Amino acid sequence: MDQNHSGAPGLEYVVKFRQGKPGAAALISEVVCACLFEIAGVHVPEVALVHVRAALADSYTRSAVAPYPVEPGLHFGTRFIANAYPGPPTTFQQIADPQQLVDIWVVDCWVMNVDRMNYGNILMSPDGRGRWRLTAADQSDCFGGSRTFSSGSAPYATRGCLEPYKFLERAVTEAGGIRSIRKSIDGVRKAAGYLELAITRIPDSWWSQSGVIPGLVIDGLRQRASRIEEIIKVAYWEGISDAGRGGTVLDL
Amino acid sequence: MQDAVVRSSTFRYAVFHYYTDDPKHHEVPIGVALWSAEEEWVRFRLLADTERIPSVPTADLLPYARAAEEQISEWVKDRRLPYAPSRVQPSRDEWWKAVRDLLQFRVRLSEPRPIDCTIPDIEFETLYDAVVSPNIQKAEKRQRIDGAISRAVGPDLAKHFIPRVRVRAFDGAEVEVLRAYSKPGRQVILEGANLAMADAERETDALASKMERITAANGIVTRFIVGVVCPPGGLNGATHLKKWLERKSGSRVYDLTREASEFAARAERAVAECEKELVLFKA
Repeated sequence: MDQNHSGAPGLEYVVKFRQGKPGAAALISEVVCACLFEIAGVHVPEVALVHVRAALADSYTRSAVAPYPVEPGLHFGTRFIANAYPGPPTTFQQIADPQQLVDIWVVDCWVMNVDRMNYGNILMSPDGRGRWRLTAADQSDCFGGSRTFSSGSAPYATRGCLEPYKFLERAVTEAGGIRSIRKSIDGVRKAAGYLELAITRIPDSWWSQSGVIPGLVIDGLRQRASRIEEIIKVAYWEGISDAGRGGTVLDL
Repeated sequence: MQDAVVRSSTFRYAVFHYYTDDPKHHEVPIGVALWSAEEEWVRFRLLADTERIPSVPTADLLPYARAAEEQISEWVKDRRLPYAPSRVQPSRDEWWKAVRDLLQFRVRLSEPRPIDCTIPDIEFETLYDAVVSPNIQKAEKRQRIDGAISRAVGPDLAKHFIPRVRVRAFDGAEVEVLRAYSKPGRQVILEGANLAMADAERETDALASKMERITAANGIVTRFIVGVVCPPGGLNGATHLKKWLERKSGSRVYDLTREASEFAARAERAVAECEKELVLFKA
């Protein structure tokens, strides 16, 4: 967006204002992960850095725009998706492409997201045939959560896989079994090749405010990408695929 | 016969809207929620797959209606809302205020409003009709009003009235009525209209005209007993239509929800009078 807030009319953005050290870490998480998710093949909202001048920040602080003081400088925004509906999906039948759920889970395991299944952290957009396509909409709590991330103790070496998301096992089966897991792993490995690029998108002020060290982010995620099969327990998913060959998987 | 058990007026309702994509962002009503903490009663409903709303293409709207319905059903089942610190009963205002805060995309919810509601099981559907006014098939409309009449008179009395029968009208023509009890030279006709729907005026005029045509038939004494389905809390201001039907039928018109027992008593009396007059006539 333009620095004088004269963005093209009709474009709406959802803005998260940077708040203190954990807040700055959360925004780093948003920008880095949006970049990585996109390269890994996961749909994310279009990202924007939003510059707020001192006068506007002061005006926001005095009004009810945010229930906390708004600092001048760069903040994080995403393009408002007008046709979205807040997920996560409540039935498997809603999901247009089960591979999308598999991809989101595998990449979330890689970046240590802690709250994907919270309301609104997956957005759903109609596919025109009565089903929904998924968008990973909130990446602020990756790296073990913004407080952990800002304290410099992101659990790169120790964090295992996430609990399977609702409908994940069925999604894996319907998206081709172990092949769908391997496809998601390929996405992670591809994205790991762009870590430096993702890091360059972060404003310097955010690094200094958050206390997060860029080199640790790169090393930590690169190391996790190399262990991704172990992290997501590929052997388990191979077992699911074998079981699926015998018949129809039922949602009980 | 189902009688109106008048409950305390502690009901609240809120309207689900579909937020359109056009530049003006219209908010089109697509559902309602009705609840009472005192009665521990709650129900909500959004546009059904078979229903249509003229102003919005159904194909655009229905996926959102179904998604909202499934999501809210799950929240109600779990007695838990996203971001709520503790469990809240869905029959409380707090629940629906929190749902309103959550629904910020294509499906939105209005502020809770109070409503005078006495038989929520029946009036919920009427409230939905009044607020959403979906386009429904004529046959289904007639079926709904006949259902309200049958419920009001009860199964024993309903047996006396033949459903969907054709009776004589002006100039030898025939018209179909909801229910009729017929004896030679005499008949009692049960008719009705749904005054909760958007087309209530048209339906009222059609019924008034039909009654005039039947009355004009030669050689038959006809008594009309007319019931109407009214929106709860006087929504849509349908009182003048009820009065118009009273003028055209020449007798009182009953609210099929709140005056069901009076409607049934009137129908029973009319049948008895018809029988008596017939005996006197034969004698």
